[in-house]
Amino acid sequence: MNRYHLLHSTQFRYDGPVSESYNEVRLRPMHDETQSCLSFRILTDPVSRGTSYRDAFGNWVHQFNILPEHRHLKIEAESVVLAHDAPMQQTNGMKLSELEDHRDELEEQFLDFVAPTAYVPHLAQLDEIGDAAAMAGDGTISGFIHAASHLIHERFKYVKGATHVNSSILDSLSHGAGVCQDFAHILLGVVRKRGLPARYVSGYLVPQSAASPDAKLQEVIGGYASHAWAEVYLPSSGWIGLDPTLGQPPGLQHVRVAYGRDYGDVAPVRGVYKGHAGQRLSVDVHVRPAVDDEGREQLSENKTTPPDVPVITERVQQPAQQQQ
Amino acid sequence: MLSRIAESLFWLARYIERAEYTARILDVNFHTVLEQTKDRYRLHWDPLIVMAGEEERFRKSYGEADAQAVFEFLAFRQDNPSSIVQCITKARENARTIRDYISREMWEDINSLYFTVNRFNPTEEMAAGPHRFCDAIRFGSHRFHGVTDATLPHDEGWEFLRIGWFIERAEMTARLVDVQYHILYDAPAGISGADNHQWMAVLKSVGAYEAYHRKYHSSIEPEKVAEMLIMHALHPRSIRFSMTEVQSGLRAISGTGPGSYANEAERLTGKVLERLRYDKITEIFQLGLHSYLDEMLQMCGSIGEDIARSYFYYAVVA
Amino acid sequence: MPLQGLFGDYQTGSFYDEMFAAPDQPRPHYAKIFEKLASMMPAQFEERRQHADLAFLLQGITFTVYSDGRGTERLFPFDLIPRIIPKSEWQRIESGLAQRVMALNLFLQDVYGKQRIFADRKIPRSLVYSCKHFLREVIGIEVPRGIHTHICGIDLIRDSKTGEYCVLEDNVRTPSGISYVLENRLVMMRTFPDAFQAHEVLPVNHYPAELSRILRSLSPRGGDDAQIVLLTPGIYNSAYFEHSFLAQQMGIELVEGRDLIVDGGIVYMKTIRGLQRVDVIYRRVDDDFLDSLTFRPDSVLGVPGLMGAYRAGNVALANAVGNGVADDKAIYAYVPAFIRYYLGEDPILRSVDTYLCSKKDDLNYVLSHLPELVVKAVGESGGYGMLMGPTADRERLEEFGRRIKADPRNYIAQPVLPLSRVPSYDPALGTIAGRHVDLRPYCLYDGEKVTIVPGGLTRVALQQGSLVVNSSQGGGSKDTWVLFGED
Repeated sequence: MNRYHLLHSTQFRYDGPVSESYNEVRLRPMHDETQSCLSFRILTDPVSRGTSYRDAFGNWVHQFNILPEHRHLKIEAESVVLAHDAPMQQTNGMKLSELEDHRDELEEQFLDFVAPTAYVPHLAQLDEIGDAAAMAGDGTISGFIHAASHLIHERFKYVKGATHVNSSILDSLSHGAGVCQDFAHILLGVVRKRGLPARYVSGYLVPQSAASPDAKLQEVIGGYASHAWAEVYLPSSGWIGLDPTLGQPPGLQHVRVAYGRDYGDVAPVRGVYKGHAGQRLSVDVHVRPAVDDEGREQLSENKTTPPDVPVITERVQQPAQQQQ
Repeated sequence: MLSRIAESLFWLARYIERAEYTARILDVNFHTVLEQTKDRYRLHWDPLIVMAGEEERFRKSYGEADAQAVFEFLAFRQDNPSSIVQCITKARENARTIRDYISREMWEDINSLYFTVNRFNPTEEMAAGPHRFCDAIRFGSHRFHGVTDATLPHDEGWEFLRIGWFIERAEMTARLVDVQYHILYDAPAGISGADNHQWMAVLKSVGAYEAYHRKYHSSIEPEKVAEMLIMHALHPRSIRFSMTEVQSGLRAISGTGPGSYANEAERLTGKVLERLRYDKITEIFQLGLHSYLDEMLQMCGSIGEDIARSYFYYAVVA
Repeated sequence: MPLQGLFGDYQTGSFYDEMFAAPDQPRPHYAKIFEKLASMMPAQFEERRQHADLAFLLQGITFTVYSDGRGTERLFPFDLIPRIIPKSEWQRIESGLAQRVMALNLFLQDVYGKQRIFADRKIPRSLVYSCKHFLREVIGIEVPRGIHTHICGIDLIRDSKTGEYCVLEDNVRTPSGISYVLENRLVMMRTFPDAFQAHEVLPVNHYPAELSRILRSLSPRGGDDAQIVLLTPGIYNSAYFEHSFLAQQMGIELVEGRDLIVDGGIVYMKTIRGLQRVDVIYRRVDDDFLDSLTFRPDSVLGVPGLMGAYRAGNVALANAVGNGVADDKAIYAYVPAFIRYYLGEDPILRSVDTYLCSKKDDLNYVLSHLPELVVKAVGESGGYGMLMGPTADRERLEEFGRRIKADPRNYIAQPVLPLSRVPSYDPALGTIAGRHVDLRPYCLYDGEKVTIVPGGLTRVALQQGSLVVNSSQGGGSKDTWVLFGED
């Protein structure tokens, strides 16, 4: 059982004054059988009043607005999360060849997680990965999905900046490279083409500790704690997590924030504002274990983000047309 | 009342007034020119283009200003945002966005004016001369005033119409006087004495020819014409009269009494009126008429902007 | 009685004629108006017609056509010969529509709420989830008083073969046209007062009052001083006349998106005296454009943050957001099932047989019978993405066959229905001739009962032989009379 303290701060700087800014964020970690969100709060600068709700996928959404002119916007989400030891997931060993019989039924129950999306079109290239995974697996559905995740991990290179936030899988398929968002999207595409429901998971990946930094992990996700992976639905077993970026199943270091059909459903921050100003975005995530394995408080903070690296490629906010 | 409705009323009135004023000036100039020699044409037509603030656009399409060109440009051109047809179109467009607010008669009236204006065939009218067309505009504007006065409740919406009408009129009169004097001073020596016609045309275009004679019992003198158009307390086209109307409109909306002001627009209007009340025309000429009118125009512009800031586009602070 | 004068050599053809039981035999409820028309000189009729046109023009009752890039305003042609419905016939239509509206409302409550209907397997979940206008953003929102379908326009036609009224299409998003019903009646009474004297015609002018009452009842703050507004996309919208007309008739503020602002989940309008809270929005802006934060980020017609206020219950919207799923052309085939499932009743009005290409058997049937069918793309409206089998050439039939095979879920097919005809004046011929019509009644639902203004909009295909009644394609309209009795 691990307890984490997370501080996710998002900052927009505008070239000129903007006003009437409306934002919607998905930053609150989930609270369910394998993860408890012990506390959550959100602060903005300039200050704002907000409302919250659960969306159709069960995610927590916070909305807020800032009317007067401003030149910067900072959104700070702070949470304490308890990650439980996940029970061993039982898979019933259903054969991949039996899947065809369940296809209609799965589509009827989970159309949203089977149908193609803007980020995950059902491209023919995906079949090649799917066929290879079917060959590599042990003939079961479970074997197939793990093989698919592993294949993607092996074949694609993690390269920061290889794609951008609006890239569909077309970009990473042609470059052979991408970031965790692309790895997850490709896995979704491969298994969905076989008729398996699969959903996108956004969240955080926590490095094990500052004392024993897992160099490989840090390298793999480029030093960022924000992460994305996938869950696949196995008939009569349930949702199975897969992390094609890491090439290993999600565990205690994975903190889930939101589910969706693809990235478009779970974008952490989305907004519109009035004004013609351009913007620069920087995102910073600080994670530290709140309690260590012996139950002692951890007081030193591990910064998982190199200081002041602005991510300019992301254009989460879309400027609305000025109305006057 | 919605800010947007107030704004549309304000502009509806301004566009109608601009169309009427332009029609008046066109008509009178045309008829004055009939009695002139050819080399003096330019003198008559140039000021009109300058007044409309569209000199550059005009030169690009026509080069030299003559009766036909000016008439077509000011009356019909789609690409001249101040042409009469464009003004009426924009007035109707504004009316259309608030047709749930204005009376049914007002809408039918502006709508039929729009159709009337669009039925005129520019080629035919240019052959016939501008009188028929300009008369229709002037009549249409008067009728719209009448219908409005008789069918719209005289509430704050009506006040925004009134403010729009009179601030436009004040500006147009100021431009008319300014441009005419400019031409007068720029003209080659030796023709100033003969410029009676030009001044007569100015007076006629604002419908003040008869009133001038009643007041001054003299021949037409430029200074007196200017005095009449700028400072006459009761002539409905003088700047002073127009600004008095603007002031009453603003006060009716804010509920402010004499001697104080509720916003910048009211303060500036008060200031303009003080000057119009106590300045003498001889002082104005000593200081320079152009700079006086220019300042007046700038203040009218600021008043318009501040009306927008106070009532149409105020900063939203929760 | 031999036909004469204006009627020339009127032919009823092989169609159901609303006026004539046989070529020279007017039906009882049309007898009086027939006599009136038959005794009129063509010139007299023409004069009245011009009178009526002028009235429409002066009122600006026009729609805008943008085909020439400049946007020209056109009159929606009005035909002076009314469509008449006797009382008993209307009562049946009325109860059929009321039933349908209630079922559609319950369906919307259900799919955006508990989704019982999927568990009970009365409609495939995947079919609903694949609808273009099924909005996941709306799931879980509780709408005021459980009303989704405040205003419905349901298109009816009379099948010439059976003489029976059928439902052709439901419009439960932002149906338009009611202003024409009211203005048509007004102009008709002015230009043809003598025609009304012979009949007792049920009035229609209580529509705005009834709509206003329903809107008022939705106010989250309660009380009589609810601030109600009509949200329009603006003057360039083809239905702008209707928006301003209804706002004026109901005495409510006509607003554009830029007049409204959301702060902290409350909607306000910008007035010359500052912000004023808004309680109810009768919106004539499509779902997609309502809120740039939730839907299309490029929309400038809506109000950012509006959905947040709606979700929080601080403002009511009519119609509800997400209604488009209920008038999807594939869902249409299930409406009779909704009526049975939610109301436990048999449908009173027949639906047109519909083949869903997403079903294998239906798909095969459609592909082998294309020349007899009308094929429609499910998410589209206004006649777009449509194939008229009988009039299409070989090439087009083949092209559609390919399109359907590539994306079966996107298409449905129906048999071609010979619409009934009403005698209508043809200015080119100078005589009266039979023209095809449909009927769009407007239904208002207050959460308990459905109120329908007697009649509705009769749209008429003014071109000879045409079955297309859309205004953009040569359609016009008629005043629709529901009689107090049978004649």
